[in-house]
Amino acid sequence: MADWPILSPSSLDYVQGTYETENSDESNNSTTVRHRLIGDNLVRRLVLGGQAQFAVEVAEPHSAFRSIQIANEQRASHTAQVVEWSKTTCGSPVSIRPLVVFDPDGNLQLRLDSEKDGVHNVWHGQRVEIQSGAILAHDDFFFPASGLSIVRLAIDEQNQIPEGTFTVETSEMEGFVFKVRMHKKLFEDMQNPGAAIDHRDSILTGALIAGLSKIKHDYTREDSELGDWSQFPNLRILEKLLREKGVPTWEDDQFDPAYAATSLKPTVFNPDQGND
Amino acid sequence: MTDSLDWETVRNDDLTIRQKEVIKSEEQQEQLLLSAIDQDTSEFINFFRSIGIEGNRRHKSIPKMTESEFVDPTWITECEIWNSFRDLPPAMAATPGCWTRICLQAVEENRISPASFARPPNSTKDANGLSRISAALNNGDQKEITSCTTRIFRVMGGLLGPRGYRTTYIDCPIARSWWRHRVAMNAAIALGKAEDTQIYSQVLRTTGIWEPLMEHIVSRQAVIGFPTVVSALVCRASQIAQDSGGVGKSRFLRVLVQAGGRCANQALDLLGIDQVIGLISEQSL
Repeated sequence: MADWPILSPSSLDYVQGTYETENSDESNNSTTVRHRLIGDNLVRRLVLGGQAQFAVEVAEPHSAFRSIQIANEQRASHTAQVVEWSKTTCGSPVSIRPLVVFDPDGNLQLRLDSEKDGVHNVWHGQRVEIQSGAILAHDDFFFPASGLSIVRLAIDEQNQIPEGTFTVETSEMEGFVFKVRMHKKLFEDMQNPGAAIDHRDSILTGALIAGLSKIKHDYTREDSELGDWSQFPNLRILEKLLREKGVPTWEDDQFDPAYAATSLKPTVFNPDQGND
Repeated sequence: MTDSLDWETVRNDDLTIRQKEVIKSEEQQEQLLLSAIDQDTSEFINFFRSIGIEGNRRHKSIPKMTESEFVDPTWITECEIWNSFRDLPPAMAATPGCWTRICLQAVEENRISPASFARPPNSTKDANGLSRISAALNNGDQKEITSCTTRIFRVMGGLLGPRGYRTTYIDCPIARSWWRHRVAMNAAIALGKAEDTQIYSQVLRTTGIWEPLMEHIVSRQAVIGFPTVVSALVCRASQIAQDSGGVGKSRFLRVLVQAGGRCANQALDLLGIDQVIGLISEQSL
């Protein structure tokens, strides 16, 4: 527990006001985070007074990357912040945590008043010291949706696959991908389907079914030597998407790869640039 | 020689897929180990070409090393590794394919023998990689054959599995050297004493420091990967070593856990390095 109250979805420290955020993706290496403080409380007062700022924590632990970016526009109860990251620094999808942080150069001692500051009664009358850089409010970590590119199409360079067919393998790199290896002709048709767009979508759904079956087979057995699936960002995003849709995941006995894959349509895919 | 952008051609996804296939196949494991002990390295090189490591581009080389040096590069060698690959993008330096490719080029250039990659950790001069592989094959000891195979993959660049993405930072000696130098150098620069890089690198070599540090930076639950926090932790470990004659794994773990707790509630990366060191020291007394 922090030495000061924190405004967040998982905390009961504040009874007045909320901190809400939403995001919209600009590209595959940027997103816009909209911060909004609703209702009157200590956090909002400090932001409006210029003693606290909107910010985000950007994390890609697999490449040992983590940083805090401060929003440009401040002293308002809401702002939009463009968050960017570099592909040469972050090899896997990044996760982002919206924050309100206290002035890094100052600290503040005050006695909390539940009515004036909007905090829970347990904080009322308590003397607290808000330290420099204190996180006053935060939302949950989220993955920008553009980060999910789990189906990767590739040409069968060794010509082992007959025309019209494909195989599906899993790779743990770049956050986890289903690598769909195809005959060259099929690969080209997938990239330029013309009127056969429904056919392309059926193939992508088939690939996703195969990939989901492999997750169930490879990562949920007790004797699995492949480690914990939740270490892979793309699988965490996928699992969250399924949960949000009320669809059983590979962790559930009722998991059905076909039902899960068809629930996720349209399937986003990524042609493998390495084969160009 | 090519520029750093060419690193992007490394096919990490293919490598990890094929590594898993090899580990499932006794026949492919034997084929790999036989090629590793062959005087002619072409079969070994072809094996890796067939599992996704391309060879049409040349990069800078690692220094020529003995087997024991390769497993634990000296400070001088660490500097050479860093200088050769200082432009490597971190996103690539975190992947098994990148270092496997560098190791394979070192084999091609006769800078290291393929059998060296199977050298057991903490082994004596007599128990080298060649003797280990030969014994495993001669005895038909499948468990040891698999162990040699996984060791080769891990040491050359990393093998995803229970260790997850930490494998490259921990299992591959040249990747470990590169990252250790980077972390030590960043700490020295943050403290305004670039000349102290060697001191911090030495601290990071201390048993019980590097692995827990990377665990707390790279794993899913990680919270301390902020550059200022990592530099402060390295500095704190150095202070403890100076004051107490050593750091000790359990003590350093306590520092890491406490720093992690603070990172959850305070944006330490926005503070000055001296302030962060002070906060960490205050907690770890």
